[in-house]
Amino acid sequence: MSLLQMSISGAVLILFILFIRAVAVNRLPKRTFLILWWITILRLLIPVSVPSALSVYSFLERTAAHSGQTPIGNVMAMMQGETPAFTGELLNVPVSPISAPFAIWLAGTLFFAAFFSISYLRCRLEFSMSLPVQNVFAEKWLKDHPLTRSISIRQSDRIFAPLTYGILQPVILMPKTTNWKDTRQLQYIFLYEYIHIRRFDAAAKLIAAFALCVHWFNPLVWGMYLLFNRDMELACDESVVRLSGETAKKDYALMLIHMEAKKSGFMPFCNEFSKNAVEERITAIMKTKRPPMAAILISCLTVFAAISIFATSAAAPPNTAASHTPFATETGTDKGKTGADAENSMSIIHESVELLYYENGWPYLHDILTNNTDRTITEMEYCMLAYDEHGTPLKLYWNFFDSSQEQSYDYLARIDGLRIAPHETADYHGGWSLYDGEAMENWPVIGNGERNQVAYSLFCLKQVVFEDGSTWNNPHYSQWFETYAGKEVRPEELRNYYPYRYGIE
Amino acid sequence: MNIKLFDSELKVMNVLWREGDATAKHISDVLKAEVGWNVNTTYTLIKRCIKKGAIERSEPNFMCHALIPKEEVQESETNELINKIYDGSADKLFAALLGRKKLTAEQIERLKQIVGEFQ
Repeated sequence: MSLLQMSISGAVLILFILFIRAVAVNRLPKRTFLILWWITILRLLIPVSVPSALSVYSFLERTAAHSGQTPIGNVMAMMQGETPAFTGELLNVPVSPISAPFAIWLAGTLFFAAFFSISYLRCRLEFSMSLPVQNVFAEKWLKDHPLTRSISIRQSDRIFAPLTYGILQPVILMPKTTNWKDTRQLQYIFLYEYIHIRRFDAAAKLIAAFALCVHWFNPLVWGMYLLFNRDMELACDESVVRLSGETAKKDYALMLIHMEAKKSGFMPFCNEFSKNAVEERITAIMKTKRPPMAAILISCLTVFAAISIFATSAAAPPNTAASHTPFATETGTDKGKTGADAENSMSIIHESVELLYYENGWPYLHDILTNNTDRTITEMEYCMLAYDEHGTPLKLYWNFFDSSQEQSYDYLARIDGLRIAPHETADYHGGWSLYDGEAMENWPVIGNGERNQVAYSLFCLKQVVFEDGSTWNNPHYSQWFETYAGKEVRPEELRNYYPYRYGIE
Repeated sequence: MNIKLFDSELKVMNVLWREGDATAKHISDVLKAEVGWNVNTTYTLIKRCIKKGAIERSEPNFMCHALIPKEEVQESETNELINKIYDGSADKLFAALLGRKKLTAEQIERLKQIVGEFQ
């Protein structure tokens, strides 16, 4: 899976979560959203596609097939077609050394990675200058709430509100203004931070930031990042209220408001986003209640739906082997789209390969090739396969001028001395001669001298050499070879095989 | 002379006021035991004090000398430096994530209303 494919399927998932969140943020357990965001982050970062028949992409595929459009091997390929600026080049991130979009992506990723690292390290440096706290209540509280990692409580005169930092050696940092006598408030604060620590939320924030750095070009990932952070807070609040009892709701909400008020005493500027965030938080706290069974069920269903419908990719259609898909994508989508899009990317096209006969009745394979690159082709290597009219693969004496040659399904030909200019379609006279025991009466008998059975032939470029010395190796060649060489192929597929397009980056 | 120091910087100054001139290494050893700072943290703080003109450094051994007596120092008002830490453009985003944003009086009133509504 390419980065862009991951980003797009991640975005679809984010839209789904945004919808659920808008409808039911205070009706479902907050954990639901955290799980959903985690699925999204995994989708964004792990380049593995999990095929599922339930996938929304399978559905799109079926719909497209039913409505008689060009069969779409992969919806992703179609979606990429709509954003030509990113197409092709980004898809080949691992292969092409430096293309312009790749360079832009890399620059952006490094920029944001530096941005987050610097802010993070600056905060950590300030926090590391905090001072230890000697407080009986704090010490007792820590003793009552043990964790495998040891938590420490420190204080700083440089923060306004309590916070937590450190993943393996977590620290609860209290502002200097903390009222150490108000144990009720301290209890809420410690519990809140304790839950953050127990859930490794600090690590989660870093992982989310990493996903954001990689997908910085995707606005929905920014949305995910902000909301994921907010939902961690909401989930934490929810746990505090549940653990402290229903009656604690009001207390806890008022305490948060009080703390916010303290902060604003110093810096009276407002921030629309944050205002909504705090309001959302307070409302969420006040609406917290033990979720009814239905909410838990719906929550589980939502997560299941997110995983099976949006986090997966299209399942292979039942009748064609899975390995056909890459080619269906290449030829299928490009056949369907002509004009602007095809011209945007460079390609070489095998327009056709036909069985023709010379005047004396000797058969040959006639191939027509179009060069849609900006360089002249001087040399190429391609593989040939032959099939009879039923699609059965044939073993041929491909090079019958050389009597020592054995029969084989495939033959790799290398032709040099070519001159196929950019945007030229090379249609020449003649082609690859085939042996025909009946037509070639005067020729020495080869094998049992039977007549030519070839009805169809598949050609696939393996390598192309250009005038400037550069070469292009077909990355799909071995896949193609495995799919077709020596294998039965439906005559319908053989008839519709050409034009076959090779995308060249 | 009007030097404003943070709590953490005062900790460093305290060592000098208490024990007289000391090497940076000694200060860091003392503070390691006292408040658990590592060498880098203490050195960063010493450098900040030097920059503020509270400490003078001399060679050899990074000898530190307090330039101001304890009485002359006043505690810094927090908001100035908070501005420095959190209001730098790079940190705004991080600050937003940590949820450290300020509200206006009306906003706080509105929040209290929400709590009232659910009573």
